Amino acid sequence: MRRFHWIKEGLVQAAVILSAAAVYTLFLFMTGDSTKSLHDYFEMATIYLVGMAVIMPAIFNIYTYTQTVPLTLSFGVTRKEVWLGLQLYRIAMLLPVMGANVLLFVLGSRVDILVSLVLTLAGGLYFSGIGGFSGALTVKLGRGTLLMIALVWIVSLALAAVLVVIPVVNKKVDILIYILPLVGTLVYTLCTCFEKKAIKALCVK
Amino acid sequence: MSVLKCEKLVKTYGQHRVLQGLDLTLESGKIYGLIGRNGAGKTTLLSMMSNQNPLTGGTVTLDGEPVWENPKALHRICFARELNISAESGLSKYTVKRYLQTAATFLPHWDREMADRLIRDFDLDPKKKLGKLSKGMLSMLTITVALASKAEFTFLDEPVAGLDVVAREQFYKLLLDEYTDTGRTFVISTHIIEEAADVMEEVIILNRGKILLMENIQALTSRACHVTGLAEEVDRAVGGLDCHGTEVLGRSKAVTVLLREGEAVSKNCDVTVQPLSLQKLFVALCQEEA
Repeated sequence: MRRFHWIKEGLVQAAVILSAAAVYTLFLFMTGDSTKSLHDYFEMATIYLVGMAVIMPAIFNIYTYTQTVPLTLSFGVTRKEVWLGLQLYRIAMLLPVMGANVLLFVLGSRVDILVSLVLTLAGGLYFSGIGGFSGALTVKLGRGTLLMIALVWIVSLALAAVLVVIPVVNKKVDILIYILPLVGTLVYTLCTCFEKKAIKALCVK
Repeated sequence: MSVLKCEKLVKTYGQHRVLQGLDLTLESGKIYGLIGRNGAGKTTLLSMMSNQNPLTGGTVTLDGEPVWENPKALHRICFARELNISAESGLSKYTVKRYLQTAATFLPHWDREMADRLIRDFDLDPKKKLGKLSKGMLSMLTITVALASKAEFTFLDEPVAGLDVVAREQFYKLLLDEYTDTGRTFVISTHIIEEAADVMEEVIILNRGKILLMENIQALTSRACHVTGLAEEVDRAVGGLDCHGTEVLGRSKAVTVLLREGEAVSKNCDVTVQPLSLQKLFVALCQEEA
């Protein structure tokens, strides 16, 4: 029951992301011209969903830190359980979004299913980690963290862009399939380690 | 009998030392009143005893086991605090129902029937968002969580803040009923001393991060008195006694006295000796310390 609470929170937020993507796709379809094929619509929706899957979990992670984390701690939950709960929450949020991403990739771009899975997983891990890190910063530093969080996001988006652009420019796109999951996992691990420390020192107010 | 023990508890926020090596032992089956001036460290103490605030130094144990990050001990403790409904806390978007559902998920001994009954009795709308509740209504919600948690050690921080006199009486009755039925331990931090004194068994007076006094209320008030009269008469009457909060007005003098066992104010002096309420005693003790 306690674990399901975190999974439920993640699933609710995944539903928000997917609903937004679905509404956008429907909007494109309704307003689109007849020259576009269904394949084109899926391709556009993919780009939109990828964007949503990047930004939304980050926002939700910060929201969770300011709301769910102190609340659960105030009900006598240990910090370790909260940290584990956050991992469950993220998995529950990422999996449906990733599933939809892969589906749209395949339908829209006809990219290899393994490639699309790896790319979305890497992106999900990377930005979820950054989102968690930003959330942890808000609890660690308290007020006046907006600038810090903005900085973290500018750096992380720039790093992500560089990681993608360099292989594309050098026409070595294949290498992305190795680099991105590695970077994603590394960033996620580092961020959750920081989170663990932040939660340990968290004081419920 | 269960014992919750704090030893050499220290808490600092930056340079500010809130708790200064505090020792405290709480026994099960009692209602404790925790009183102290603003900033004395009451909320900090309660939050440290319930794992909500990391310790700078010292230990908190329940039956010999550390409370910090110990789910077994934490299942027996509930700290129902004043709800912080600021924009950044995010709680304002929660409905009463959702808040109680979350409480039910994490508090292992949750009594749903009791929670539902209290919500009805307090006339709280389950669909209402916390941000829309008045201070009194938020206190009612806090009381609901504290009582329905059924935790062996339950701490309430300012539970009657914002409540009208009728609701306050309702709370004291609910508390006493629950205490009589279950024998749970309650620690109530409050500024409304006189009212709460009727339900407290023991009082803990906290001042500047230290326990100034911890005693059975009846025993304490029976040995406290207020002595007034001409200054020289008062001085003669209370010579050698434990005096606090001395007030001088012209030739008159008033002194609060805490009598030790076997002591008495001298009867051969022309002074007036009056019993002292807990609130007056608290003011005398804390004024002196300030």
